[in-house]
Amino acid sequence: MTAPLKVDIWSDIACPWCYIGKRRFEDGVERYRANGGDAAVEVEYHSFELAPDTPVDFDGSEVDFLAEHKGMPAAAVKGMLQQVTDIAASVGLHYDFDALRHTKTYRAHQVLHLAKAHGRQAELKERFLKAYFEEGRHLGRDSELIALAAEVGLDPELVRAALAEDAHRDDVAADIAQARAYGISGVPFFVIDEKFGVSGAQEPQVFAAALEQAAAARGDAS
Amino acid sequence: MTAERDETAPSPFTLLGDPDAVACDGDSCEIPAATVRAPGDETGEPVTST
Repeated sequence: MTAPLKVDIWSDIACPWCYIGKRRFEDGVERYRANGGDAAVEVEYHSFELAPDTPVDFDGSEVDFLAEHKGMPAAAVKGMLQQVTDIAASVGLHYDFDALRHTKTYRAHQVLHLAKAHGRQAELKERFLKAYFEEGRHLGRDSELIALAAEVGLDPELVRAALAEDAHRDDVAADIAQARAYGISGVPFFVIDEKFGVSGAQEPQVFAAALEQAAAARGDAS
Repeated sequence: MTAERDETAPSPFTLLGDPDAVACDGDSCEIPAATVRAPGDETGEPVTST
């Protein structure tokens, strides 16, 4: 039995390419299998805050936020968001930037660490991304984080207590420090077996090939 | 590992795939220049968003 290929993924929630990249990576894993790859693929998500200075509450739309934040005309922002929406649709995602609630993701990352400790990280990562990009949920609010975590099987009181105590503050900081140590400045970023790096929302065949190369490298080393 | 890394140092990984693949960096997410232009802009300069 081949040992699992370990894939460490640095990503943020407020990151449109991270969700698109997640889908493409998952497609890549399927292609790796279809091509005869027999190693299990073990995924661990790591925290990355793209914009730590983002306010928890912003009174306006995503277009308003970006137009104000970047000094761009609203029409240009709308055009860009439509392009991202179209690319997301190509991988089966239904982004709704009109409903999106732009917010700080620091506390959501803490809950993802709690979920990891309880074996529910993959489910919660998917739930958070869907809630943020498709459902317009406010992921800066504890009540929303608790409700979404409960949907994937986490005890609401456990989540509430962890947030109240900032129990996973150090875990988030450690992930961000690790990213810095690795030289990661953009996300999503995929590290396979601590040897191979894949940056960005690459096409599925890139991920499939990377997994094949990582598996072959193990053979070379044995 | 928590040490600061010299960003001019080589990556600790063998990087695979397209080095220019779309990603988010800082508070900007690059949109492919070939597909996105501001209204009336025909230059194709890259733009950033979200």
